[in-house]
Amino acid sequence: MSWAKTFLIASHEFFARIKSPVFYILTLTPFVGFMLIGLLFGLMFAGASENLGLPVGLMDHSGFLSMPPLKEEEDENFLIYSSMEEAQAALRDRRVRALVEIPPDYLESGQIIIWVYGTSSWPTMVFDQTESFLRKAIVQNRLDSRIARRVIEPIDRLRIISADQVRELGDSDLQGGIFGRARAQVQQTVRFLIQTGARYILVLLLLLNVSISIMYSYEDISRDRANRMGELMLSTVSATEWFAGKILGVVLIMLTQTLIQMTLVLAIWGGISWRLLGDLTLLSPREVGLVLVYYVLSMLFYVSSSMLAIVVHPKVAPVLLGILGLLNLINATVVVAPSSRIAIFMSFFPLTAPGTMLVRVLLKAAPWRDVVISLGVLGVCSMWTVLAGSAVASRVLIPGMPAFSISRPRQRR
Amino acid sequence: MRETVLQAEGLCKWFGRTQVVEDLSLEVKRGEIVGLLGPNGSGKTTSLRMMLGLIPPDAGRVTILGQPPQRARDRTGYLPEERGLYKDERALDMLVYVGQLRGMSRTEARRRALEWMARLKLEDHTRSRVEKLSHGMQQRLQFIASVLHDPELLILDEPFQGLDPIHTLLPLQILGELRDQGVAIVLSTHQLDLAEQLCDRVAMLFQGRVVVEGTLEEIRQKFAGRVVRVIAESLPPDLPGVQEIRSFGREKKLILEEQADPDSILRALLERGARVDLWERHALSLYEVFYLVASRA
Repeated sequence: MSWAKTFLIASHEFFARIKSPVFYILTLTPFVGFMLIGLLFGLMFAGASENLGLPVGLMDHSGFLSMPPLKEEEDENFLIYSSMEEAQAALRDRRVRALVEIPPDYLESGQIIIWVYGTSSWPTMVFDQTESFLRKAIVQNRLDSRIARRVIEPIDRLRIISADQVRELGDSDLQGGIFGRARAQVQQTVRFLIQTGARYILVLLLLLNVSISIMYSYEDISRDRANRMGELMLSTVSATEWFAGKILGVVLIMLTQTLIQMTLVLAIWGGISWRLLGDLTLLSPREVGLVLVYYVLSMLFYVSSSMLAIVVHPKVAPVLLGILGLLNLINATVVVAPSSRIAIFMSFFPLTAPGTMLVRVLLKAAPWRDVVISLGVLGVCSMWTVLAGSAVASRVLIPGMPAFSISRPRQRR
Repeated sequence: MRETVLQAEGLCKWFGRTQVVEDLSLEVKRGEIVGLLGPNGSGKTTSLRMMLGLIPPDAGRVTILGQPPQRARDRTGYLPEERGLYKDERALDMLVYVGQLRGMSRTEARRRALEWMARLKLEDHTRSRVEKLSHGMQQRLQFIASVLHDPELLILDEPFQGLDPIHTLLPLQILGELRDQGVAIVLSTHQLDLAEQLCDRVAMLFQGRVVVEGTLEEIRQKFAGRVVRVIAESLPPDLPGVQEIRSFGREKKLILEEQADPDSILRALLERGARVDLWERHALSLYEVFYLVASRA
C-alpha cells in the first residue's frame, strides 16, 4: 500500500470539501444551535445552578430552630449560620448556593426571605427544599401551638432577593449600573456553561459531527459513483489506498470542523471575559487524548459502515444511513447514567462502543478497565473497515457490477 | 522479437448463472494494437476489467509486463467506457491529480497535462470546470488522463464512442503514434470500421467467447470466397451452397456456406437460365466477417 497515494486522495477530498459552502453551513449550524440551547439553559440557571452541589445557608432570626426539643435541626442540605454577616459572606463567596433568612416574626407571619443569585426558577427549588425542611422541624415540636400552625403552611409569604439586590452584599461583579449587572449575568451564564453544561454540549456536538461524517462519506461515495470516477480511480490505485484515502479525508475534514467550532467557542467565551478561560479545566490532557481517539474511531466505524451501506442498494442506502445515524445518536442517552450497566454494555458493543466511550470519557465516567476493553473490541472490529473497503471497491465503483452477487466458477459450456 | 506486454490466459467470468467471458486468451506485444470486437454484451468490458485487475477472473490469469496487473498500475493507462471525471473541478487540476495518482510529481504532471491539452486543442480550457466543457472536450480530457503518464500498456474501452468523425481523427492519429513509440494498446469497440483502420490484430467476441482471432489479413483470408457480389436478373432463393442472399438494390451479396464452390454455384445459376451481369468474389469487411461469424454462432 502506498501511503503517498492515500494521503494524496485524502488531501484531494479535504480540499474539495473545504472549498464547498456546505462544509461551512454544516460546521456553523450545529455550533450555533448548541450555543443557543446552551445559552438558554445558562440564562435560566445562571448564577444558581453553577453551585448545585452546595448547601443552602440558613439564618434564623426567630429562634425557632433552637426551641426545645427542636434544637438546631440538622440537615446536610442546610448550613445554619449564627450571624447574618457570616451567612452573607458565605453566599458572596459561593460557599452556599442560596441563603434562607427566617425573620424574627416568622412564626406569626410565615414569611421567609431567600437570597439567591440570578432571576431564574432556582428560588422555587430552594423554596421547596426549605418548606420540606421547616415542616420536618415543625412536626418534631407539635406541642407548641404557634409552631403547629405552621405545619399546614410552613411558608405563608416569601420574599426573594435576586441578583439585582444581591449587590447589597458587595459583589464587585454586580457593581457598575445596569450594564455592569448585565455583564455579570452573562459571565455567570458562560461560567455555568463551562463548568456544568459544556461537557453535555460537547457530547452532543461531537456525536452530531459523527452523524455529519456519515453524511459526508455517503455524499462522497455517491459522487464517485455518479461521476463514474471509481473505475478510473481503481485502475490507478488499489482499493485499500482509495478507501483509506477517502476515510482519512472525511476524518480530516471532521477534525477541522470540530477545531473551527472549538475555536469559535473559545473566541466567544474569551470575548466575554478572558478570565473565564481560566475556568476551562474541563478536560485533562489524558481525557483530551481519549476523546480524540474515540472521536476518530467513531468516525472510522460509521464512515466505513455508511460507505458499505451503498453496496446493498442505492435505494436502500439512505434508510440504512438513517439507522446508522440513529445508532450513533443513541449514545447520547448514556449521559443519563454513564456508569450504568447498560452504558458499560454499550461500551463493549462494537456498534456503540466508540460513541458511548466518547460520552463516558467526557463525563469522567470511563475507568481504565473499560477503556482497555473497548479499545480491544474496536481493534478486533477494525477488520470491518477493511471488509467495507473491499466490498465498496468491488461492488460500488465499477458500473454494471451487481451488488452482493457472488460470482463463482461454473462448469464450462 | 518484441516483448510481450499483456498476457491473458484462459480468462473466465461468471455473473450469477451467466458466463460472461469464456476461456479468453490474448497476448499483446509492444507497438501492437489489438482490438476486442463484438456487439454490446459480448463480454468486452468485463474482459478488459479482468486484464486490468479491476475484477478478479473466476479462472485464468493475467500478467502485465510479467507482473500481476495490480503491480503494474503506474505503467498502464485506462480509458473506461463509462467516462468519469470530477465535474466541479478545473480541467488542468483534474489531470494533475490523476497524474499524481499515477506516480508523477506535481510539476511533471502539470507540464505533461499542459502539453497534452495543447495537443488536443484544449489549451484554452485549462481553468474551465469540467462540467462546462462540451461532451467532445470531456472525452478528450479523459483520453489525456489515460496517456498522461506515458503508459507502456494502454487499455481503451470504446475510445471513439460519442466522438464525431472530425474528433475521431486526432485520437486515431495519436494512437498510431503511440503504437510507433512502442506502446501496447488494447481497445474494445463495436465500430468495426475504425478497428479495421487501426488494429494490427483483432479478437471477435460473441456471447463471451472468442469466435475469430488473428490479423486482419488472416481473417480476411480465412473468409475469402465466402461472399460473392452479384448483379443478376431473377436470382432463385434456393441456390445450393448459398447460406443467405443480402439485397442492396440491384446488387446482391451471396453469403456462401463453408466449403461451397463459387464456380459451381455460378454454373448452377446459369443452368437455371438466370442472366448474370456481375459475378465477383468480394473482399470481406470486418462487418461482414463479424456478421458471418455471429450468424454461425
